[in-house]
Amino acid sequence: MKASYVIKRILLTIFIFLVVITLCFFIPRIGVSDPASRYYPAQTAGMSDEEYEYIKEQIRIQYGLNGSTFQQYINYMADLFTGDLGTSYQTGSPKVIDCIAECLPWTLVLSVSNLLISLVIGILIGTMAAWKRGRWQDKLLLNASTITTALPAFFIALILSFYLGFEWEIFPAYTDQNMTANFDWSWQAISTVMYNAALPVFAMVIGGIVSYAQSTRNSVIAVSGDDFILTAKAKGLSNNKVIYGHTLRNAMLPIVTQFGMNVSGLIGGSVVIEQIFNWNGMGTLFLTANSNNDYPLMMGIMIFMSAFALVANLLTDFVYSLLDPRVTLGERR
Amino acid sequence: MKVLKNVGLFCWRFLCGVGRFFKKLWQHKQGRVGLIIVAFLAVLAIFAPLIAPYDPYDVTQRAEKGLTPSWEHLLGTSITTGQDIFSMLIYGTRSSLSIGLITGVVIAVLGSLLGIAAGYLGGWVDTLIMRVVDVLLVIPSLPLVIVMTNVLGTSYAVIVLVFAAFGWTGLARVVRSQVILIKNANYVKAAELVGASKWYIMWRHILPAVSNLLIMSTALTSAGIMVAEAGLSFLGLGNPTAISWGKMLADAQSGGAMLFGHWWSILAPGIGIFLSVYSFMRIGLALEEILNPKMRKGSSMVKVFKHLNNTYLDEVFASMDEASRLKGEYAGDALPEEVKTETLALETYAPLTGGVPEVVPAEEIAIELPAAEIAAENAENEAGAPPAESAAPAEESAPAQTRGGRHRRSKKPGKPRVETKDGGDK
Amino acid sequence: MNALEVKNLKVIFPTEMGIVRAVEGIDIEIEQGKCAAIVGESGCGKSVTSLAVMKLLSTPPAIVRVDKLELGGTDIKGLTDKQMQKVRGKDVAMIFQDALTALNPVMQVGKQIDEIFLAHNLSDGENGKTGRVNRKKEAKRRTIEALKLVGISDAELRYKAYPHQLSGGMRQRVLIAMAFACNPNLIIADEPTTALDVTIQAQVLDVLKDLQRKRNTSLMLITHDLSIVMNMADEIYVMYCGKIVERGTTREIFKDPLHPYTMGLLGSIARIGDAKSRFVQIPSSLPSPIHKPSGCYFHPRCQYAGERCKTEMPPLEKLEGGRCVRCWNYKEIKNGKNG
Repeated sequence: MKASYVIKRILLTIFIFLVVITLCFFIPRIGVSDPASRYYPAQTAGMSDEEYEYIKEQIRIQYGLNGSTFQQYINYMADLFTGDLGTSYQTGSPKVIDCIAECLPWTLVLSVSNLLISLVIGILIGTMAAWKRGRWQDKLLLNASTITTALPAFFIALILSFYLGFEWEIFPAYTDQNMTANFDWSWQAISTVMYNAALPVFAMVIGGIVSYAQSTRNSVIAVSGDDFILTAKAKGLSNNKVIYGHTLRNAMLPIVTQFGMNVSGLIGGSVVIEQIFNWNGMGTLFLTANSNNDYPLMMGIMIFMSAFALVANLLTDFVYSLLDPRVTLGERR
Repeated sequence: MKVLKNVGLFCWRFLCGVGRFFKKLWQHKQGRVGLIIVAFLAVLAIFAPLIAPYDPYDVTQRAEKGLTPSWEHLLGTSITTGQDIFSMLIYGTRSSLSIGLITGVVIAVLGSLLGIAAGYLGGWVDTLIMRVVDVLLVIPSLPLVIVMTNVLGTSYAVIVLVFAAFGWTGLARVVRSQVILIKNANYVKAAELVGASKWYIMWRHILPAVSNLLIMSTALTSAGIMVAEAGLSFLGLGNPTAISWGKMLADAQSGGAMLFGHWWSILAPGIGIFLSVYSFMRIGLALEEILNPKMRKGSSMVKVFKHLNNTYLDEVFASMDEASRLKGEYAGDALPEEVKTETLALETYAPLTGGVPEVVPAEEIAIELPAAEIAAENAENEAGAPPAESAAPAEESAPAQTRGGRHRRSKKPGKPRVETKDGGDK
Repeated sequence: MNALEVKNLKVIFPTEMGIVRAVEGIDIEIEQGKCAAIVGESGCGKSVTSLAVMKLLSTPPAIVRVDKLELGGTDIKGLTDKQMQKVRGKDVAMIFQDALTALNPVMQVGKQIDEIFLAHNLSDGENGKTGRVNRKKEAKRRTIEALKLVGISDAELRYKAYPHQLSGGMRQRVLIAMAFACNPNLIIADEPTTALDVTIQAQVLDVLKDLQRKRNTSLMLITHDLSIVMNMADEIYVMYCGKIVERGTTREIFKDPLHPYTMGLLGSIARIGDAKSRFVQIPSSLPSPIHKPSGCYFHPRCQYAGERCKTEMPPLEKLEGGRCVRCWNYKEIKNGKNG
C-alpha cells in the first residue's frame, strides 16, 4: 500500500463528498422559487405591500433562506466547514446535529443488530449449503433466497406486526415512545429496547440472512474449485485446516465487500421499517423533515448519511487491502 | 427497395431470435414458472376492467367501508375508502407491472449506453461516468428518491425517471467491466488491426456480447423496482391517484386493519407484490443459468449420481476391462480373478478438480438472440472467445450483488484489473 | 521395491451427457529413484491418473476403482481420507501445473510451506522443545532451507512474499520446494513447466532433476511435451484416451517407437540436426471421452488402421524387457518402415 494511493483515495473521497453536498443542497430546491413561502403569514388587510415584503424578508432571514440560492449555498457550505449543520425549522428550533444525535442511536440499534445477526447466521447457513451442494439443504436456500428477495421487508414487517403484535400480542406492534425518552442504561431500559426492537429486527433480518447465505455459498463453491485448495489437500492438511485456513479465508473476500456496502447503507436502510413500527429513528426523522420541507434537517440527514457511507467505503477498502495482498488501497473501487 | 428488404430481414431475424429466446426460457423449469406468472399478471393488467367485478376508480361503485369478504366482495372492501379490494388487487397489477417494466427498460438502455461508453471510450468519459457512479452510490437513494418525488411530483413519469436516475449505476459498472474484457480480447484487437471502425466494433462485437447481460439484468432490475415502488407508495409518496399495491397496504395499515383483524386486506396486496417480483426474478435467474451453464452443473451432479446403482457401475467398469473388449482373445497377463474392486470412499466436500473434460455442447452455452447470433458467428469465425464468455460476468447481477465481486488475480501483471467474478473458462 | 505400483486403475465421471471414461484400467510401476513419464495429449486422462494416485478425486464427481495401489510397498488403497492426509505431502507430494493458481493468493508463500511441516509434525525442535512457538520457528527455519535448496536467493525475503509478487519461475520453484519439503518417496509432477517460458523451463527442470537424483526420489512426470521427457525420464508411458498404448524405456521409445501414436508424437518435436523438412502431425483430434470409437481408440486417426482395428481393441502386448505396445499391426508397421 503506497502513500500516494492513500492520498489519492482520500482526495477523491473529499471531492465526492463536496459533490454530494452540492446535490443535497440543490435537489430539494428544484422548481421551488421561494422555499420559505409556506411560512409566510397571510397578508392581513391594512398591511401595505412593503410591510408585507418586510415581514417575508424577516421570515426568510429567520429560516436562512434570504438572498439568492447561490448565496444560500455559499453560506451553507461556510457553516458546514465550521461543523454547523444549521438549525431545524421544527418548533423550538433545535440544532440539526442535535436532532440527528437524538435519533441516530435508535436507528443503529435496529440496523447494527440486523447486520450482525444477518452476517453471522448467513455465513453459517451459506457455508453449510456449499458443503451440501446440490442437496436439499442447498436447494432450500436457493428457493428461500428467491422467495425472501421477492418479499419486501415492509410486507414481512406488516405480517409480523399483524400476527405477533396484534393477534397474539407476543411483541409490541408499536414502539413504546417512553422507551426513547426515558432511556437510562438500566437493565430495565435495555430489556425494553430489546423487547420493542424484536419485531423490526426480525422483519429486516430475514432478507439479510438469506442474502449473506447465498453469497457465502456461491463464494465458497467458487473458491473450493480453485487449484490452491487442491494444493492444500495435496500437502496433507487436515480438512479443518483446508476449510478454515484456505477456503473460508478466500471466500470471505466478497463477503467483506458486501458487508461494507451494507454498513454504508446502515443509516438510510430502515426508513420504511421505522415508519411501520413507529420507531423514532433517522428514517422517521427524515420523513418528518421531508413533509415539513425542513431543508436544513433534510440536507443534514442526507449529508450525514453520505458522510457515513463514504467513511464506511474507505474503511472497507482499507480492510480489503489488508485481507487481499493483491489489491492496493487506491486500486479497488 | 434494398433498404426495405434489409429492414424486413432484420425484423424477421429479430422475431426469430425472440421466439427462440422464449423457447429456451420455456424449456427451463424455473423460467417457465416465471413466464406463466408474468403472462397471468399481464392478462390481469390488460383486461383489468373486464375481469374486475367493480371499477375501483368509480366513486359511485364504492360500498360500505371495511366489509369482510363475502360473495359480493371477494376480499371485502377497503377500510378507508370502501373500494372493492379484489378489484383493486387486479387494477394494482397495472401500476406495478408498468412501472417495473418501463423502468427496467429505461435502466437497461441508460446503464448499457453509459457502461459501453465508459468501458469502450475510456479516458475522461470513463472517469466522468465512474465519478457519477461513485456519487450516486454514496448518496442514500431512498431519501433522495423521497425528496425528488416531493419536489417533482408523483406522476408515473417522475417515478420512472427518479428510479432510473438511481438504478443505472450497478448495470453500468457490470457492462463497463464486460466491455473492457471484450475490448481487450484478441478478436476485437484483430478487428481493429484490419481497420474496423469504433462504431462497427461496438455494433458487431460489444453490443451482442452485452445484450444477453442486459436482458437478464432487465428482468432482475424490474423486480427490484417493483419492490421499491411498492415501498414508495407504502410511504404515501407514490402516485396518489393511481391504485397500487403499496398504497393498498398503507391504507390497510393506517385504516386499522391490524386492529380489526382484517388480514385479507394486508395479505392480498402483499401476495400481489410477491407474485410479480417473484416471477420476474425467476425469469432473471433462469436466464442467468441458461447463459452460464457452469452454475447448473453442480446441482445436476447429485442428480446424476442418484441414478447410478452399483450393478450399472459394475457393468461400466467391467466394459473397460481388457478381457471384455477382446472377447476372450486377451494375449497378455490374465486378469486377477474376481478382484474385489472398491470405490474409493473419499471426502465428498472435495471440489470438482481439473482433468474433467468439459463436455458442454456449443449450442448449450448461449441463447440465441438476433444480436447474440452475430456475436457467436464472429467468435467462431475469428477463433476468438466462445460465446460463453459473454455470460461470464453474468453472475455479478445476481440478487445478492456483491460490488466488484471476487477479485481475480490478473493473468498478466500490469494489465488493468477488471472486476469480474470467475465465470469464464480457466 | 517399487515406489509406486498401480494396477488396473479406472476412473469415470458420470455426467448428464453420459459417462466420461477418463481412465480405463492402467498399470504403472515406478522403481525407487527412477523417473517415469506419462505422455499424452491433453484430455487423455493423465492428470486424472495423478489425482487418483494421490486419492484426491472425490465422489462425486469421480468414481475410482483400482485393484492395487501401493506406495513404497504399503497399500494405500483402503486408506480413509484421514489416513491419507498423513501420507499426502509426506510420502507422496505433488507439483501442479500453474503455480499462480496452485498457491493461495492471500497467504505468504513461506507460510504455505510451513503448513506442511506443521501438518506432519516435522518441525518439533531437535532439542525437544515442542511448544507452539518453537514449532513455528522450526518450520520457518526448514522452509527457508527448502527455499534455498531450490535456488531461491534471498530466501528470508521471499518467505514473506505473496505469490503474485514472485516471477513465474520463482513460483514454480516454490512449488518444488513444497513438494520436496518432507522428502517424500514419490513426487508427482503434473505438467510442471507448461506455464513457463522455455528458458525458465530448462532452469526449473534442472532444479527438479537435480533434487530428484540427490534425494533418490521417484518422480512421476506428467506431460504432453516429449522434449522435456528425453532428459528427465527413465521410462515412458504413452497414454491415449485413458489407456496406455505404449510403454518402454526412454531410449527405446525415442529410438524405436512401435505405436503409430507414439510415432506421431515424436514426429511433432523438433531436434537439432534433424533433416526432416516438415513435422509429421497426427490428423484430427482426441475423440470425445463419452463416445469413444469402437475397436482401437486410435484407429480413426491412424494411417495404418486395418479392418480389425475398427472392431477390436488390441491388447497391451508385452515384449521383452518390459516393453509393451497396444497395436495389432506394430510388427508390420515396423517391418514396413525398415523395409
